[in-house]
Amino acid sequence: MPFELYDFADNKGRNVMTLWAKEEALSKRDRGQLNQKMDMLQINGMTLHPHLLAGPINKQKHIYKLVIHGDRMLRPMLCRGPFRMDAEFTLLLGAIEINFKLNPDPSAATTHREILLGNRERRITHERY
Amino acid sequence: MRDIENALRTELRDPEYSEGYAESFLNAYVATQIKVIREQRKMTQAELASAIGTTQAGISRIENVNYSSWSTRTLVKLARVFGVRLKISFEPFGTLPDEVLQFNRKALERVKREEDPGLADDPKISEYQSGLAPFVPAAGLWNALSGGKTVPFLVVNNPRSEDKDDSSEGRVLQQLQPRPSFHDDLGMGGREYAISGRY
Repeated sequence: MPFELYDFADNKGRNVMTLWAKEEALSKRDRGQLNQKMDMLQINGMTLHPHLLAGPINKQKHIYKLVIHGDRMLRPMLCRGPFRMDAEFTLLLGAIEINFKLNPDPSAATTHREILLGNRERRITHERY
Repeated sequence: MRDIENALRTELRDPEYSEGYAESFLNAYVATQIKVIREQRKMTQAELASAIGTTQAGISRIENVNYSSWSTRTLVKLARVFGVRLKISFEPFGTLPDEVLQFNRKALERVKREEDPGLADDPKISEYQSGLAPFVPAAGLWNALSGGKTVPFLVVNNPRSEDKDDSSEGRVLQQLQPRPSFHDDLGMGGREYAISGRY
């Protein structure tokens, strides 16, 4: 059963994930790896593929990170649901890991999730990178 | 799902993008299939590790979709324990969208040699070999045999009698038709595409 993917939207309705990908000028190779992981998540969810998602992240109990070993250590952060926990995922924040430290801090993903829980309109259907 | 397929057929025309996507898919395929077949055999990671002479942590590492440093030697050891053969095959990019969409647990499972319908002395097997595979309750096996539905890297266990040859590389690879080059790959042109080789 395929899952539904969503991206968090900022207060102007812009997709924060595609904005992040653009700001970071992701290489084509990285975008290929990123989309491959997103496709796996959408088609099979998180249980079939071992270690597809890491988490929940320490101190951010609902937040997972997608691990991509590309030209850079991309770690987009997401949560299950948050409305239909077994049927959807929402990408909350783009991040890159440098020296074992996530940038930006994952607490921003938790903040985005809380905003979304208070306003369902703050997400849009996932767009490919 | 159709959205993914359509997007991929366009995206994979870019060489750099397609290499990133395909290599990530390959790593995920290997890791996931090892896990799926291990679970199908009802083995723990520790039991599998013991069978191939490594540690449980070593199996955990190789079952990680982000791991890419596996060796053919280790994969052959795993194939022996699983009672299947290892197949390594080069494929055009245009077959990738179908493989992505058909990636699921059933398609990754493989019967072991003792239960292999392709090796049984049974009339039903003749039907199976002549193309009536959907009637055989082994979806993964059918995917491997049905032409154009394979993945770049496969562990399968169903050599067909007419595919025999004497090469040490196995029986199937020599039966494959020539692959189109990247720019000739019809699978990315929105037209019908099928591999005519038998698996």
